[in-house]
Order: sequence, then structure tokens, then C-alpha cells
Amino acid sequence: MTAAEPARRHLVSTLERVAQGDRAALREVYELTSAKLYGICLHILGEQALAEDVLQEVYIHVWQGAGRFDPARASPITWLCMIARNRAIDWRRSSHRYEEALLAARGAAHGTAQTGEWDYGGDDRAGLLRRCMDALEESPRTSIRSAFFEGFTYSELAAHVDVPLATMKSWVRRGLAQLRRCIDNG
Amino acid sequence: MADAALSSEEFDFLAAELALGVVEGEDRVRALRLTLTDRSFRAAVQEWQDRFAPMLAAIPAVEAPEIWPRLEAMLEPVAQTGIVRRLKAWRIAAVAASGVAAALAILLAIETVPQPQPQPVTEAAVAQLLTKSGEALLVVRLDQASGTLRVRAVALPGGQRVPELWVIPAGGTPQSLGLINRTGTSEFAARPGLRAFLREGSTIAVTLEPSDGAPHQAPSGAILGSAPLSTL
Repeated sequence: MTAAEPARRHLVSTLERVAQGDRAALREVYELTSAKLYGICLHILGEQALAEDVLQEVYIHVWQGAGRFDPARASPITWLCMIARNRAIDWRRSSHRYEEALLAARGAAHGTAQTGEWDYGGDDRAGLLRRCMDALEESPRTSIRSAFFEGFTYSELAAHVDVPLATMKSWVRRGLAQLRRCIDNG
Repeated sequence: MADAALSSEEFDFLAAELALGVVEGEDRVRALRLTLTDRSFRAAVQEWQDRFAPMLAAIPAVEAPEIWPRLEAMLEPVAQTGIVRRLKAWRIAAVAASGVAAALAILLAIETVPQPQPQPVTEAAVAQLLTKSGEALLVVRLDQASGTLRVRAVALPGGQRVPELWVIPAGGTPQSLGLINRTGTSEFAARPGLRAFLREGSTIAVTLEPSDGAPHQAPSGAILGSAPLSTL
């Protein structure tokens, strides 16, 4: 239990109403979460107009897919954040803006900003993931971050830092194996 | 495990790579195949998404511009699709399977005709789905401006189950585009919520499914064939 638990329960029950086609419930989800999800879209896409369009897609997806949310499997805000991330990455990949993305990635450090009031899994999973990411060597860490936030594939990651594909693959896989051990051991 | 060629370590790496979005080419096709055929693989991908998700916690919230009125205006067709879906389930239960897919495709096309979009150039994307042994199953053509799908069946197997078309976005789970005709051509508008998935590089797949309850939440049948959408 954390301080955010009531907010989490409320969001779960509101999503259940959305799954039954309740528009007022969707509006409530929108009001509760749009700043967080817009932040994610904006962070990944870097342009307000695009982020706005993708944000709209995200809530339409929630409207249609709320029935697929399983509160036993994921925290509601995590589920919503991943929809926003996947939508933004899908858009970004389809728009062939990797060079721009790279420039933006070089310019902006992904800092440790305030996390807001949301509970991302009940046991400070965000803090655990940060610790586990920080424990990785630099190459695996930056490659995994770049893939997650910029949507780069193996060959794009390899080209950007000018290493052979096999090297990039082994960096990422080493990072993934270490990350899994670290997270699962808590 | 469905794919005997993969060790359990490789199996988990592939799930992580798909969740992260780094995997490409043949490995990506293999991973997407597994999401369709192997429940434990889908679960492994989900577990990796859950492990990565807290990275998003650190991104600061930003007050969003007011998009609710625009968003609300777009909900109507979605609600109608829900009715169509229930109607479809009822009709499929009530009518013999053969002519139903065609009737439904028409019904779906009527009910979900999308708003015309101001797009100067009409671009088409196609996917030719082949069996593992390379025989053509069907050809999908997407009019990107209107979101209309035209599916031409080349040689789909017969039987009790009916062909269902899926789109698999990068790093995502399969989404049903609906049932299609076993022979001839099916033409219908993709549901508004799925149009964003229909992009160059998205994978289109076909499975055989029970005729009732479509569009299904997830495929239950083995994948007959899959191919990426490519722009002409």
C-alpha cells in the first residue's frame, strides 16, 4: 500500500466504466491523466501539434480497449502510459524522422523530473527500474534508453554510434539480461 | 513453447526485443508469429513491457491543450462500431457462415465510413500474404487516405473456421480487422481506432477463427501467413 493507492483504485473503477461505454467516465480519465500522457507524447515526439494528435489517438484507443485492461496485471497509470508510449513510437517510426530524433536525443538529457502523484505499480517500481538501469554499463544503458524513448531498431542504434550490428545486439542483450535479474530480485 | 528452435533464454530475449522495439527483419517476423501462436510468448512480451513501463514515470506531466471537444466528437463512430460488433455476433450465430462475412463486411463499411481527410496525395500500401511454403494466400491493399481495406483472397483453406485479418503494430499485440471473405474480394473501412495501426511496416496476418464473437480480442488459430504493409 502506498499513499497513491486510493487514486489507483479510483482510476481502475473509472476504466471499468469506460469499458461499458460510459463517456463521462472517459472524460474523467482524460481529466485525471491527460497531463501525464501528453507529457509522454511530447517527450517522444517533441512537437506540440503532433503530440496533441497522438494524445487524441491514445484516448480513442482507451475508449475502445478499456475492456482489455486487467487490474491484476498492471497498474492503470502504467497501462495508460504504455499506450501513450507505443502510440507515439508507432507514429515516430512511421514518419521516418530518425535523424531529427537523434538530434533531439543528443540535445536533451532524460532528467529525473518529478513523478507526480501516480503510483506506478505499488512498490516503487520506478525507483527500482532507475536503480537497475543505473547499474548497467553505459553502452547497454544508453542503447536501451534510446530504443525505448526514440524507437530505434538494432541497426539504427548501431549506425548512430557507429558499431557493428553484432556489437550493438550483444550490448543490448547483456543489458536486458542484467536488467531482468536486477528487477526480478527486487 | 511453440518454437522448438529457440532456447528459453533466446525466447525471453526475443520477447524483450519485441517489447523494446529493437528487433527487425526476419527476427521481427518470427517474434510477431509467436505473438499470434504462443500465449506464453505474449505473456513474456507483456512482462517486459511492465518492466520497461516505469521509465515513463520520470517524464514530467505537461498541461495538455483542450482536446476534449474534438475527442468527444470522434467517439460516436466508436460507439456505433460496438453496436455493429454485437450485431455481428448475433448475426453470425443466427445465419450460416458462408454468406455472412460478405454481409458483415458491407455492414461494417456502411457503419464506419470514416470522415474524409484533407490529404492531397492518395497513397496505397499493400501486403501480400504467403504461406510458409511461399504460396499466395491473399493480397491486402490499404487506401491510406480513406482507411479502406481491399482484401483479395487468392487461396484460403476451407473448413468450419472463417478467415480473420489482423494488424500487429510495432511492439504491440494483434488487433482484429474483422472477418474476410474466403473467396473473392472484401472491401471495408478499418475501424477508426485501428487506422493509426495501419501504417507502412505494420504487419498484417490472417488466421482461421470461430465465426462467432468476431472481431476477436486475440487470435486463437494458427497463423496462416503474415506480411508487412509496404507503401507503393
